[in-house]
Amino acid sequence: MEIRWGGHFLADGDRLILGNYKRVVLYDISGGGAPRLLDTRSFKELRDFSFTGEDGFFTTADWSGNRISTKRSFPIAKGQRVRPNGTAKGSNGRFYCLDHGLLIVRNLRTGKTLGKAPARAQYDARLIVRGNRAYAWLDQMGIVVYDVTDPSDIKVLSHTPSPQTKRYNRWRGLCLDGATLYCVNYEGGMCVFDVPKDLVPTPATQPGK
Amino acid sequence: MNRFPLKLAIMIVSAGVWCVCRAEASSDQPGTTAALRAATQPSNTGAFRSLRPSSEIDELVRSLQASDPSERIRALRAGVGIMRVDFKAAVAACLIHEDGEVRKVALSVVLPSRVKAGYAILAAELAKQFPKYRRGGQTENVIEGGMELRYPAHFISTFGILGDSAIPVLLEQLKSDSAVARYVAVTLLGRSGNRRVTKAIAALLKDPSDDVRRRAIKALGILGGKDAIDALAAMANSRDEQIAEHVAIALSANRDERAIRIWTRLLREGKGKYAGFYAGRWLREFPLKQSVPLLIEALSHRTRYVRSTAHKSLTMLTCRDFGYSAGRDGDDKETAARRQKAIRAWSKWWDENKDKDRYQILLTALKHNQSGDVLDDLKARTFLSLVYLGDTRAIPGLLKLYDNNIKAIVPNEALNVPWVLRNLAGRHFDDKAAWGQWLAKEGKNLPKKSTLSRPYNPLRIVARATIAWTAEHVAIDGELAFVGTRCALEVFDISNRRAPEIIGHYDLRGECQGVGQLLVRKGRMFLSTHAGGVSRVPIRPAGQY
Repeated sequence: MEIRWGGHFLADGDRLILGNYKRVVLYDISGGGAPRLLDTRSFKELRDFSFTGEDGFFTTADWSGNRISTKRSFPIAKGQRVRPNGTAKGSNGRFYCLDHGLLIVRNLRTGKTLGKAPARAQYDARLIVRGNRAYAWLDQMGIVVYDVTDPSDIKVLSHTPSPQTKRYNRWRGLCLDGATLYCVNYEGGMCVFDVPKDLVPTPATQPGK
Repeated sequence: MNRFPLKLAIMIVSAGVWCVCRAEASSDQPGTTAALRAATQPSNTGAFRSLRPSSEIDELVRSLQASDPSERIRALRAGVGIMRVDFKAAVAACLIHEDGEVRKVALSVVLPSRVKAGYAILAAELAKQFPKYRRGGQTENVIEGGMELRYPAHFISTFGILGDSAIPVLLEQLKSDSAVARYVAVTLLGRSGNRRVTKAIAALLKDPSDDVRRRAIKALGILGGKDAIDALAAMANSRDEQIAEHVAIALSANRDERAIRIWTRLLREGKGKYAGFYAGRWLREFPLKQSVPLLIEALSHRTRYVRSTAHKSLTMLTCRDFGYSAGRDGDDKETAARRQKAIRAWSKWWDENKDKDRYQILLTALKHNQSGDVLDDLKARTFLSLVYLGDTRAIPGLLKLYDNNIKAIVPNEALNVPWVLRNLAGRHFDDKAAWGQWLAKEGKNLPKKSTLSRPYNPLRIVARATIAWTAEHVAIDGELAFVGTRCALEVFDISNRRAPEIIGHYDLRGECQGVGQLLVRKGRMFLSTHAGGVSRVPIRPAGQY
């Protein structure tokens, strides 16, 4: 009954979601001690999830791309597969997911597709979005920085291939701290990157899309 | 008469099954059972007991360098499980201490804690202790044999990332009397990626052992850089065909054109059974004008493997095959007649196409291979070649083929025209009209090379840090970086981001099967593990690790 395998999780305010391929657990982390279990749900081949930005609401995506209703959600991409850990919530009510070789930007409430860009990944990937920049590590392409200011015209600003092409030596894990990007790779190294000014996020994004 | 106990047994079993199913079903509902609640509560409160203050590890490192063997032994026993790089290097050095007891205890520390630097020395020691592994006098077999005692041979390949503190230990090993030790050390130094060791490795090009010389050539090829390539090129005229072949491979891997001369010599004048054995494989790394004529020539080579790889390279470069196959039997069986026919076809084709760019050749091949909705191997290869070539001039030509390939699918990749266009242009459009509009607008400003097929405005690495285990995730909190690995949580001080330093270590081995993900929110860190559950880990100020 434990949450085994994967343990991808994220936090929003006092809520923390932990999940793997078939189960999602919601914790309360407001207290000073251990996280308190609030809720648990089972899914069929869950891949990823993200907070919608409203307290207590989150949205999920499964392998087949079908809609999974968790109070508020939308279809990710019918018939296509969302990459593990490949979703993120952006500003202005946007939802980003890495889906079958594409970075897809959707309206969080309606699910309407706002734009797409190439994002080649085969086994694993991770995505973070800060302001008008999306940072992804993709097992086939390396670290890619996107300009998502206008979702209908997403631009690739930077492409940093993995140090080696071996699958297990590719980038894995990404964390942005100001103008510094920290990235680990599977064989056990942490690299510190200087993020140039034009790749650092600025909060302004186009409203209303 | 006996029916009653049977019925009772069925009822008891049914009730048991019902209970189990009920428990399973109820656990999926909100408001879970106490069992689930207990299972998902943090269970590894004792998981971080092995965290040691930095000062204590410093003291242990000093003790490991002490002259008194008993002090070293005490430090070795006290430091089991410490993963800090300088500590591991000091442990590794104890493996070759003159005192037998120190060596024995060091070995007992290295084996379970997987001290990478220690493996180099360990392999050499094992080779000495287990001479039965000296199969055929091959050094490589000795090492692999030795490693098989406890670890798989492929573990050697994971020595790639070495802490800087391990490099002096390995450099010392280069001077060892043991060929095995020199062999292992030069292998690992080659994989270190540290070009400061180039000179030391180049000195081994005159080593008395053939194995060590070959391994030094390979290491220089992996390291690359002007010094390494020049050292290799100086050996291009070696009369030893095997050494010349290794030099050619190393130069080819670095796309150095001096390799072409060596391959030509080996293919035309080589006397040994395996002379030019890898020519077919490595010639494909060079431009068509240099590689294709030689590869066509290699189709007549006396060795079937050379003919086979040469044909494979020609197919990869040009996406044509002219019906030739170098198989042993069946439909693919190679015959002299088929070979001669293919050689004539290749030669004629090359005469007609030698002035074309590779992307023009690929586009021609694509038209030639156009056979239907489903891609055959050659067409799939053509698509992939276009993407990896990254020449954006192919975009207008591909757009003309758009409608013919919509349904073309190859397992794992949607290899069709839209896919290739997407990866060449770095854009996505849903239909041909949208692509056409974009091309009309942006076509003149397109860069010659695709932004996605090569490093494009790449991020600049300002620092690297080494961790002993496969890293999974990283999280930042102020001046601390936490890196979750397969068996530990490493704490880095990143106050100087150009020199991150490990200051703490939470050992999770045997308790959680590795870190899944890390999350830092408002000064609180949460950690999920592959064993299950989420734990809250206290974040201390940098000085308290």
